[in-house]
Amino acid sequence: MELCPSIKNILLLDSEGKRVAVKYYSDDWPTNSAKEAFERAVFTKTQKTNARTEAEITMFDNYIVVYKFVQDLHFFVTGGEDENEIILSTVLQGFFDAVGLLLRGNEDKNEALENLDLILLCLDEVVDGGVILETDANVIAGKVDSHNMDAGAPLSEQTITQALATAREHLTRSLLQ
Amino acid sequence: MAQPLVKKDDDRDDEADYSPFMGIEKGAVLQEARVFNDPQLDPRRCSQVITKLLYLLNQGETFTKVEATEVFFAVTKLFQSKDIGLRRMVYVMIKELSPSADEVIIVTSSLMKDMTSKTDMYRANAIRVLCRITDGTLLTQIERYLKQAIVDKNPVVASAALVSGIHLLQTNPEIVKRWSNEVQEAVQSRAALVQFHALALLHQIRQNDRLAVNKLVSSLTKGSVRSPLAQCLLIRYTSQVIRESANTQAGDRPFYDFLEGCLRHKAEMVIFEAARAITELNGVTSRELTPAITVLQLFLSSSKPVLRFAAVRTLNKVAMTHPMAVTNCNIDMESLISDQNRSIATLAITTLLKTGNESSVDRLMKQITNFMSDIADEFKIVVVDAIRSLCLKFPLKHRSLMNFLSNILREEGGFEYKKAIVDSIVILIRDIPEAKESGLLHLCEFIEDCEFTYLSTQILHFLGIEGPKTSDPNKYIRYIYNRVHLENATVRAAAVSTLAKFGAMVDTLKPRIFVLLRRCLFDNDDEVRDRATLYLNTLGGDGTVVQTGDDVKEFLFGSLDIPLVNLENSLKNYEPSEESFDINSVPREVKTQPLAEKKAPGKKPTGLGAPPAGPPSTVDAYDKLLSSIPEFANFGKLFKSSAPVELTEAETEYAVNVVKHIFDGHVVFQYNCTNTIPEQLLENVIVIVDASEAEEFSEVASKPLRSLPYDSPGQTFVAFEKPEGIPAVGKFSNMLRFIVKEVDPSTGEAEDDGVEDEYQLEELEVVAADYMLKVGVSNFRNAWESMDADCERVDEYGLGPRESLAEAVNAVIDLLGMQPCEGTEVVPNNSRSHTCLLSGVYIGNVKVLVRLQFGLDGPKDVAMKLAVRSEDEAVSDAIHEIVASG
Repeated sequence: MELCPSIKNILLLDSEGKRVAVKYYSDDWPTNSAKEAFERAVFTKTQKTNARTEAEITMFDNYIVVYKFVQDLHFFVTGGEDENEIILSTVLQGFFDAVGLLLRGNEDKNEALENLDLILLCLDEVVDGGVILETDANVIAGKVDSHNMDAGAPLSEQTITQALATAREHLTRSLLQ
Repeated sequence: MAQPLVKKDDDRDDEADYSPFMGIEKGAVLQEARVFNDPQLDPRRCSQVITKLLYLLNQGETFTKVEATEVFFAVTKLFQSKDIGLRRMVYVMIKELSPSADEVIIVTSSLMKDMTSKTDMYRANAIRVLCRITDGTLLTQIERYLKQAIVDKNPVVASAALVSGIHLLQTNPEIVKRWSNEVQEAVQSRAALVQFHALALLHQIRQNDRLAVNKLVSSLTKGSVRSPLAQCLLIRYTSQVIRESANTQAGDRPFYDFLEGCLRHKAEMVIFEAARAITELNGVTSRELTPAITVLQLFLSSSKPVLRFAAVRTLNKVAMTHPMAVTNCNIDMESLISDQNRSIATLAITTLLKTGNESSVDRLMKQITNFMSDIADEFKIVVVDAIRSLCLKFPLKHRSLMNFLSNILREEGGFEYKKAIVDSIVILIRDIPEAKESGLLHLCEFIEDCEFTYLSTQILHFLGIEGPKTSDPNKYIRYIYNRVHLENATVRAAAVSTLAKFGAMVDTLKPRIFVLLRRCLFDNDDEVRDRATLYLNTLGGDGTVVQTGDDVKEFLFGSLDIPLVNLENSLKNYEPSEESFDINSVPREVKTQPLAEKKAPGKKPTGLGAPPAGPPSTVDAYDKLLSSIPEFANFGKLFKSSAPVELTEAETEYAVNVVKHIFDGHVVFQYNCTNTIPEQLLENVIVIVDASEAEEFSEVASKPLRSLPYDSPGQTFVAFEKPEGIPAVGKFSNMLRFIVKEVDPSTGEAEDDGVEDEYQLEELEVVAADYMLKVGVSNFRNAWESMDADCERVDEYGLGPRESLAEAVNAVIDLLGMQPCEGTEVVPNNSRSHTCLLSGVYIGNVKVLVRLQFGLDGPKDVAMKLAVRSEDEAVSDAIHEIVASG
C-alpha cells in the first residue's frame, strides 16, 4: 500500500462528458487518448447516478472514483484501490466547494469556462503532483481569488477576511432563496 | 450573408452551446501570445491568452518543441508585470510547459527573487515551480531558502517547501535528507496541513531506518498530532511497525491501543483508517476485531454513500478470513441490497454470500434474483463468482445454486458475464459429483440458444470429456447433433469432435454415432468434413463394433502438454524439408511470468480457458546458440536452460551472470560477461572453474571469449560431463581470467601489451531444481487421478519457524523448480493453511505432480505434507529427497 495518500487525477467534465478542466498526477494514463478513454469510462459509468446531494463513489479497473455533480458540471477525484475512500471524498468536497465559492454560486459549465483561469488555479492549489495540498474549500478559494487581495498583506490574514466575505455571501444567498 | 450560415439552429441552442473558447485554434492563440512581448503589458489580456493556451493543453493539444520554446520565452517576459493574478497564471504555465534544462536557467533568477519576496503567496508558489523544474545542481543553490521555508511561520509557504521536498526526495535524496532537522520541527507545527506534509516527508526520509521509524511512531502516538490527514499517516506507519515487529507472542500487540483509540477520533477519515488497519493486522484475533467491526457497522447506515461503500468494502474483505466476525452486520447488509449505489449493493450481496450459513442460502438467493435484473454485467460477474464459492462451501445446496446459475444463463447478458456463469458451472461440475448431470444438461440447453461461438465450442469440448462418463450418455447426443445442423462451421467442427469422443468412449453408441458422422461427410465446410473423415477412420467406422484402442483414445483425449507458444514458435521456425516436423522437438519449458504481472490474490480459478500463454520462450535461442558451437554439438537435446544467475554484485568493474544448460549427460555453463570500464579491453576471457565440491562432474571443454570491449556483452562457455540421466548436484567456484589492455578513451585504440589478471566471481550451484522443467497441466485434478496411485509417495515435514505461510510456500516452489497450477501459489492473507499444486517434468522426461499442504503449527512454525505422483516411483522418491535435504 502507498503510505502517503495520493490522488491519481481530478476531472471536471460537462454533462456530455467533455473536458472542462482535468489534471492527471499519475503515469497510469500516458497518452491523451488513454486519458480520454478513462474519462469516457468514468462518465458513462456515473452518468445515470444521482450525485447531487451527497458525493457518490464507484470502483472500477482497480481505481476508486468519488464524484459529485452540480448543474451540468461533473466533478471526479480518482485514487488507487487501496486508498482511504473518505480521504478522497474530502479532497473532492474541498475542490467542489472551492469552485462553488469562486463561481459565486453560479456553478455551471459556461460560468466555469468563463472563469477557467480560476478553475485551473484551484486545481493547482488542491493537489501538487499527487500529494494533497489543501482540503479546506475556503482556504483554497482564498488562495486562488487573489484579485481582491492586497499584494502586501500576509496571506494568513487574507484568507480569514476572504473566508468571512464568502461566508457572508453564502448566508445572503441562502436567505434569498 | 454570413449570418444565416452561423445561425443554423434556432437561437436558444446557440446560446446553450456558447463557450468562450468556441472556434479556438492553436495557431491563432500562438499569434496572440505575442502580446507578452509588448513593452506596455496588459495584465488582463495576457492572463486571458495564458488561459487560452492552458485550455488548449488541457484539451489534449500538444505544442511542438519550437512552439513550446517560443511560448516559454514569451511567458518569461511577464515576470516584469506586478499583477498578482497574472503571476499566478505564469507559474501554472511554466509548470505545464516543463521546460528543458537550458530554458530553466532563464527563469531561475526571477523565481529565486519571488522565492525570497515578502509576499507569502509569491514565495509559496515560486518554491513549488522551481522545485518542479529544477535539477540537482540548482537545488544546492536554493537549499538554504528551502530549509528556511520549511519552518516559515506561514503555513502555505511551509507546505509548499515540504511537498516539494516529497517530490525531490525521489530525484535528489541525499540533499533532501539534510533537511531532517527542519522537517522534524515542522511536524510540531500548529497548522494541520503542514503537520501532515512534514510527517509524510520525515517518514520518507527515514523509511529505510526501521529503528528511526519505530521511534517516530512511539513518540507521536502519545498524542501530539492534530491534523486528521497526519493522523491517518500515523496509523499507516503504525501498522507498518506492527507488521515488521512481527512476533505476536501471547500478550497484547504493541500499539493496538493506539489504533483502538483512533476509532473514537472525531474525524471520519481517521476512524475509518484505524478500523481498516485493525482488520488488516496479521493474525488478528476476534477480540481485536470487535471494536473495528462496531464502528464499520455504524458507517453502514450512514447517509453518505462514500462511508457506506468504504465500510462494506472493508467488511467484505474481513468476511473472507473471519466470516463469523461480520455476521453481526448481516441485518444492515441485507438492507444495503437495495442501495441506490449498485457498487455498495453488490459488495453487500457478496459479503452476505460469504458470511451466510447453509440455512440462509435459499432466502438469500430469492433476494438476489430480484437484484440481478437491475445491475450492470460487471457486478453480475462478481455475484456469480461469489455464488460459485458459496456452492463449493455448501455442496448440499448445489441444486438451488445451480438452478440460479442456469436461470441467469438464460437471461440477457454480454460475453464476459455469460463466460463467468459457464466457467462457474464447469467448476461446480468438476468439484461436486452430484451436480454433474444437472449441470451438463443446463449447459446443453444453453448451447441450443447461444450466440457466442467461443462458449459453444468450449462447452462442446467439455461435454465430450464429461458426457461419456455419465450414467446416460445417450441423452446428450441430440443436443450435440443439433449443433451440426444449426450452427456456423467452427461450432459444427467442434460438435463433430464431441460426437467422436462419445463414439470412442461408449461402445453401445458407436453404430449410431457413425451414422451421424457419415452425414457430416457432406458438410459444405472442409474442416468439418476433414474431422468427420478422420474420426470415422480412426474409430473404425466400417460398421463393426470394436473396442476403441488405447492409442486412439490417447489421440482423441490426450492433452497437448506442450505450451502453445513454444509449439507456435517451433512451427514458425520449421523449414519444409524431407524431414517431417517432430512434435517431440518442441521445448516444453514454460517461462515463468514475473509475479508482478499476475493478478493480485483472489484471482479466480480458470474454468474452461486454456492455461495462460507464456511469453515467447528463449529456449529455442539457447538451443540454436549451443548447437552452433562444435564442442557442444554432440551433447544431444537440450533439456533445460536456467534463468541467468548473477555472479557479481551490481555496479562492479565486470558484470557476469551464468546460465546453466542441462543436457542428459552434460552441463554447460554459459557466462555472460560485460566489461564496464571504458579504458579497458579484455582478451582471452575464460572462467576457471573449480569443481572440487562437485564430485560427479568433470570438465570436458571450454570456449574462451577472444575479446571483450567496453559495454558490449560476450559469452564464454565451460562444459562438464556428468553421469547420464542422473540429477547430480554440486558447487562450483569461479574465477574470471583474462588479459587486460589499456584503451585510450579519446582514440579508442588499445595498447599492444596486456597484463594477465584475475577477478573472483561468486560461487555457482547446480541444484535439483535445475533438472526439473516447469510444465503446467490444464486440469490438475484430472492429471493427478490419471497417474498411478502406486507411485504416490507421501510424507510430512516440519519447516521450522517461517516469516509467513506465503514465504514458506514460495521457498518450497523455488526449491522444487516446478510450475504452480491453478493459481495456487498465491496465499491469501491471514490464512492458517494452504494447498499448493505443482507440476513439472523431471530429467528423463518423467512427468511429476506434487500436492503440497501447508499448515501453521503454533505462531510461526510451518508444517508441510508433501504428496508426489509421477510416472516413476524412483522419481517420486527423488522429489522427497530434494525436500528432505533442502
